[in-house]
Amino acid sequence: MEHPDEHDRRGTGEGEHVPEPPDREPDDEATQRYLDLIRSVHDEWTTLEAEGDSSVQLSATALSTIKEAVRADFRHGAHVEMPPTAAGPYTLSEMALRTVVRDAVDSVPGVIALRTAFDHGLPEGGHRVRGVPHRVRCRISVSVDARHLTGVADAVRAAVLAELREHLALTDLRVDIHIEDLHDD
Amino acid sequence: MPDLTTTDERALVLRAQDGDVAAFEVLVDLHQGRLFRIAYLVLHNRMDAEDVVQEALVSSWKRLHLLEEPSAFRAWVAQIVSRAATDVVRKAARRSTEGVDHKALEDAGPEAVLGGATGRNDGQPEHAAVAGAQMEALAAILQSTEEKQRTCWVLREIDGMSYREIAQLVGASESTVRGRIARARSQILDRMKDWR
Amino acid sequence: MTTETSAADLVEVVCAVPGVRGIEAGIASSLRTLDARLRGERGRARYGVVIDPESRTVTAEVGLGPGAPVRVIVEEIQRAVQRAIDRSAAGEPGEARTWRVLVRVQSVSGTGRTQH
Repeated sequence: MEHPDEHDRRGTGEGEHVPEPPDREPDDEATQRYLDLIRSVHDEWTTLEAEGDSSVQLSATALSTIKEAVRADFRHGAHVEMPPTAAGPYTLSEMALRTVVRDAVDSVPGVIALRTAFDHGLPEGGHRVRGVPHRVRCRISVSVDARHLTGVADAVRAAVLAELREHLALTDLRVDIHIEDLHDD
Repeated sequence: MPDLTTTDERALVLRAQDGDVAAFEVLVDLHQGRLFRIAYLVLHNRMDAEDVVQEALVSSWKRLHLLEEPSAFRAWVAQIVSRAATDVVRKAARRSTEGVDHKALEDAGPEAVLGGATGRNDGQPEHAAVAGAQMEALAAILQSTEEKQRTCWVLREIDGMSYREIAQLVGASESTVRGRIARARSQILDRMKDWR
Repeated sequence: MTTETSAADLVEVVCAVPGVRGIEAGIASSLRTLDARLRGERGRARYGVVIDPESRTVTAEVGLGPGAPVRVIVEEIQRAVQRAIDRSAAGEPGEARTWRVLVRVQSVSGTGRTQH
């Protein structure tokens, strides 16, 4: 198999001048050994990699470390920018933010939080960072004994707004409540 | 859930950009070997090569949203590896010209003097698992080349990149890249002659 | 910030703040810890706390427990870290500019409200 650069060495007459070694004869042999070495390196790794030999690739530990880091990052979700404290900036993972809202919803008698979603403003930037939330959508389940569903929804909204204000100094938020289920208390 | 192992790479990158971790893991599996070989041949040190590749792949997940052309993932991630490897080589060179770094030697243990970019080569000569034998021989020879030339040579001869891709990756002109590869080649030939 | 205050020291400072359940390493510190190891700068990062001299930022990745409001705990973390930095930089010229302390809250375990 012709080495991809062989035609270059014979001189294509264009491009940068590639210096020729002074002695042709011995160099052809050295060149052949050079090409053989490259080919044997390719062959070696092709075989060993197919056999799962870690001498030519990452060790199993290194590989799993990468995957764990990425999975952990994924589990936490993106980070959400918050209004900074007086002492500096901070973010909350989406997972943590959902926990805060969920606790507020759960605190209202007869209500169980289901899923929560947010709409975000523009982020300042960074790896998987979302901007400050301006809208929260709470999907909830309400006790079958609840008398006034509107009242329940309002109570949940008030609890969520209070929690977000107290814990995160988030104000100016729209909170939508979707009652999608009923349950027995 | 589709079998992602047969999905084409561009689709995998798009899905990973969307947050699909399984797709990203397939990309990791597809590229870790070649990235390791690039790093190992530049660094001649297994631990450093593994660290560089781990950092590059985790970093590529973190910066995936910045990759505009998904089909450029292969070259892009090689660029991250090559820059990190270059950093390691240059820092090691600076440390050695600044004199003996006692703390690093302490940390590294008795094998530190045996070589490798940061003196952390833990391979005794007969330790088989550090690297494949042929690859190890080549990595040793490559240490006699200068870092810029070595990097271009490895990307061309080992990773099969085109001159244009390498030029974009290292930020030099194609003719500069050709020159570096030619010089690396002639240094390797000289080194191999000495072994005769 | 001097080499005297290492990331390991700051980990202790952060964990001592009431309401902090512990360090919870995420992608930011996984990456920088690898990076620091490569560059021989072992003091710069421990899983969970990263010191970046270039941007003069300390990043702490934490899990919070129930009790005080999140922002109150976060502010206390930031102040505690800043105090630790100030203590170690005392008497050093040119250290007057404050560092930025970025807290990344990975998880909160209950916000202390009574459940029904």
